[in-house]
Amino acid sequence: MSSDLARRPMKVRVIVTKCVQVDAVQFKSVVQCLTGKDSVVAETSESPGGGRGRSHAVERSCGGKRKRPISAEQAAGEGGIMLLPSLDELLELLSD
Amino acid sequence: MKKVKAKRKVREPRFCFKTMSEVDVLDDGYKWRKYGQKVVKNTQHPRSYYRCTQENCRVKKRIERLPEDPRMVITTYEGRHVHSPSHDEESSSQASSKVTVFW
Repeated sequence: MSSDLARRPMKVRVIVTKCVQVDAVQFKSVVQCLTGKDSVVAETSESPGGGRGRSHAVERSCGGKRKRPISAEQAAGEGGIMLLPSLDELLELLSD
Repeated sequence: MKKVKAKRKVREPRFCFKTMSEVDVLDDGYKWRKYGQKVVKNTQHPRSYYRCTQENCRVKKRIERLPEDPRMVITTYEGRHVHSPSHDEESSSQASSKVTVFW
């Protein structure tokens, strides 16, 4: 087995998981936006540069009430793994 | 991190949702069937696995509680639905581009 690995180049596949924090009221609409049929956010994991524009558009179209969107551009960075917003931001969001 | 199966070049996007809720299974407008349950170490709450019941739809989700704060439910979705959500009455929560008008 080890000789086999030496011959073939190793392929690394990264599965990107994006984390979102929502309250129970927004849950349904956000889930439908992100995992529904016409979701565009899923494509943004491919291209971080062009993706920011698209994910922003999705946030505008789903749940327009949100003043401060849980934006991907805040912590998107290199790996594409989105971190949760800080606790202060969350508390602010919830108290709205 | 789950490794992708060989010969299956599908990179499905995953979204995990963290929600404060007493209810484990939150209504997201889709229908699910449970297909597994797994005990999670260091916590009383098991992790449950669900699959979308719509034909041809391969979306999966798993539900578990956050060990540090059991009030929080973590719902992780994998994949995208190929159909609209099962309930269509309340269009107010849907995206603005999709408006159902009843006259």
